[in-house]
Amino acid sequence: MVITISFFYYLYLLVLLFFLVYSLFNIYHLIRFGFLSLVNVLMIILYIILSAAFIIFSFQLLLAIDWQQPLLQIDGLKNLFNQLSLP
Amino acid sequence: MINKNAIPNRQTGEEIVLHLRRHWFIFFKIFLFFVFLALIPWLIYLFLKFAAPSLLTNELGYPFLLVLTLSYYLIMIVFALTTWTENYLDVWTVTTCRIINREQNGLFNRVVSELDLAKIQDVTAEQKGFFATILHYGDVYIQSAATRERFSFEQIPQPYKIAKIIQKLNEKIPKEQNPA
Repeated sequence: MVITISFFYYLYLLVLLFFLVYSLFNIYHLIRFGFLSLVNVLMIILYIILSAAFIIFSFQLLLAIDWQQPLLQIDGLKNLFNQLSLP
Repeated sequence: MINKNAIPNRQTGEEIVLHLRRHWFIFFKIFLFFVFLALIPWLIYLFLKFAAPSLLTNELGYPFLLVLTLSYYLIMIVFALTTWTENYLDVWTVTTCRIINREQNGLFNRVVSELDLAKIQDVTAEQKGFFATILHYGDVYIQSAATRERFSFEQIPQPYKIAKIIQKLNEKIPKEQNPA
């Protein structure tokens, strides 16, 4: 069995999920408890635009990588253990 | 969003005198801190470029470092917003009758409390530190007869002026209401 470097990609998707959930909590707080002011509205809009731009940019970089490259070959490790356990 | 002129359980004749937030320099300091955090991966990149350039072009090293850097920036951005939210949602409102304290202590801890101006026993203003003295920001502590020991307005602009305004408002309250 071969584990590919797509492991890192899925790890990034997890971090992205955390980012989105936490951002939503923050924006909810700013909308629910913040004053109806230009600063508050601008901050929320600016954050959404910057975050979207960063996520698009990050995927442009990530999609240029071949994620099918092997990271770890478990069979190789298995063979190694078999060799070590031989009398 | 809350209307600036809306206050909970408004009493007859009650008017808003002040809405207070932290001084702009506090937000600027937070901004500088996150700018510094944003520069760290660039410094590491420059270091690796000279110390271990093969790591940046390596088939395994590059994807790993890229994911690590992008994750670092995502976490940094979201914590920058959290810090902004925690500081921006701290608002102290002074009305002609009371003080309303709205504090965001972390993302899942919001405290709203109020204090009648008539219950105020002592108002103390404090400016501590180099920047606080130069830029005129500091804390105002309000001692009351109520169970909560002290109300504090943290890092607000013109603390001495604010303390004076609160003292004057306290003096204006009719004697029968004011035990002090």
